[in-house]
Amino acid sequence: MTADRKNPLEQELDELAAELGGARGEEPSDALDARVLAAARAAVPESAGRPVAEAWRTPFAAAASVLLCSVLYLSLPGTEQDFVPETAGRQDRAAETGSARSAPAAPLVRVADGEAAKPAPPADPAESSLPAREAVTATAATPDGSGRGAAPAAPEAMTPSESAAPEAAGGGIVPVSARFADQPESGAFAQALADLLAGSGDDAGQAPEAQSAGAGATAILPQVCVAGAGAAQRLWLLRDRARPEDAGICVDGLPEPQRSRVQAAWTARVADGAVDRLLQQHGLQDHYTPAGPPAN
Amino acid sequence: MPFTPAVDGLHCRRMDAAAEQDPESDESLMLRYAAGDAAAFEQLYGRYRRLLLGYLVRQLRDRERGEELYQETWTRVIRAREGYRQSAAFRTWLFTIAHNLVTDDFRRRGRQAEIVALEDGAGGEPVDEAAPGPEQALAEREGARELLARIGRLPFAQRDVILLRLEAGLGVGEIAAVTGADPEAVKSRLRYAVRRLRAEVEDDG
Repeated sequence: MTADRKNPLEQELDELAAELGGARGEEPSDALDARVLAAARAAVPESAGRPVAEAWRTPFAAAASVLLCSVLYLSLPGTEQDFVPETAGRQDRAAETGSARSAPAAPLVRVADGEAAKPAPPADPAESSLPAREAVTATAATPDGSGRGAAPAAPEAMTPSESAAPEAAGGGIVPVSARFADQPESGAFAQALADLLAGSGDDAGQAPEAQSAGAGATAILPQVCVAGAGAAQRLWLLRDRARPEDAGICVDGLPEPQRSRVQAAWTARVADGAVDRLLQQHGLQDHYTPAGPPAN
Repeated sequence: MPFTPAVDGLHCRRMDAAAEQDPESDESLMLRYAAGDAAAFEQLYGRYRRLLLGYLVRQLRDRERGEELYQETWTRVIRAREGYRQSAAFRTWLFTIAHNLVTDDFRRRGRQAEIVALEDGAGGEPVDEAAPGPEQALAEREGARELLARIGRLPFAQRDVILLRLEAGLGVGEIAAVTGADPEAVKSRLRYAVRRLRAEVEDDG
């Protein structure tokens, strides 16, 4: 350190750094933060507890939970009041730790309350067990575009203009993996879609020193989008068969020349049937079809 | 200004502050992310979001383009996570990706001549920036803004090393690793850059 301070160059640089002071750095916009973080989350497998939670959402598991709880309830010597607090307490602890086991706790409470036993809709649409179409609507309709924390909205209640608000935070857009979070292969589909878009020339998986500047690497962020402001700038990939006018999967914010490359690669993969095969592999052929941009 | 997370559960601005107290290394966080821990990425992201965007925007002198390459840089980090090796310092790796993208961007935009002419660190003519207009000059009068404006007028190679030093906080060795230049060449570029920045101040004075 002492040697550094005696170095005139270092001294000068330190002075310049001090002069720069608080002006150092640039604040990314919220939308930019959201896009990067959503991509980061979409790229990794869901949390370890997720399969457990999702297993409870299957019809079989829900029915099993009803049966189990009914048996438990009938066999318990205590009253309903004895049962509910214990369950609720378990829920609270699960919520504190983020445990995925908070999911099955919901039907337990409902059975004890005497209500129809079915899994309660989770607060986070990313974990929603809603049917695909409703999930799109719910996630796209959130004000911040994150699709989180919003109650599901009926499709007919949301107009394209409501869903747009795009520049607030990439509005009307939700990562593909979140969109398909109710399906076990969600991460796999998102990754497969990204790989298909990136093509074989992608060098993004290599060490930086091996990444020659300007090689074919492309930013691929497949997202569920709805039509609206900014839709014309998106690269639409798949059309939602149920809502062909205003929903589908797109890539947003892709600069040139990557945009043109992806467009060309996508067209080629549609032509050679790779896209159809991908959809079939993931059981989505009834939901999506390769498409151009939905009408704005 | 408080940060309002655009993504539920993510609090980047708070992460900025927390990162200073968080002893976990960048490399450890990156390895955790590679293993599937998205929260580790959020911590890493919080540490470098401002610095990385600052480097890109000031090197490109274009906020919009800087944001595009910012997203591209992180996208590459995300996609390359499984190939990450702890032998490489994360921030060197991060800024290497960003530097490569910037260089590539300049090449694509026909600024190759500017890069080549200055690769030797010998200075050269200032970039082809038009002289700032009266309004811009007025806005750049004071302190840091003035310094940033002067940095913006440096030739590409000098601007690159000075921004990597001042914005990213990299040392000479790290800058050499990022740019692929010899450490002595980096020092030389830094000297020229400092000299030019100081000379501009004296000229203005």
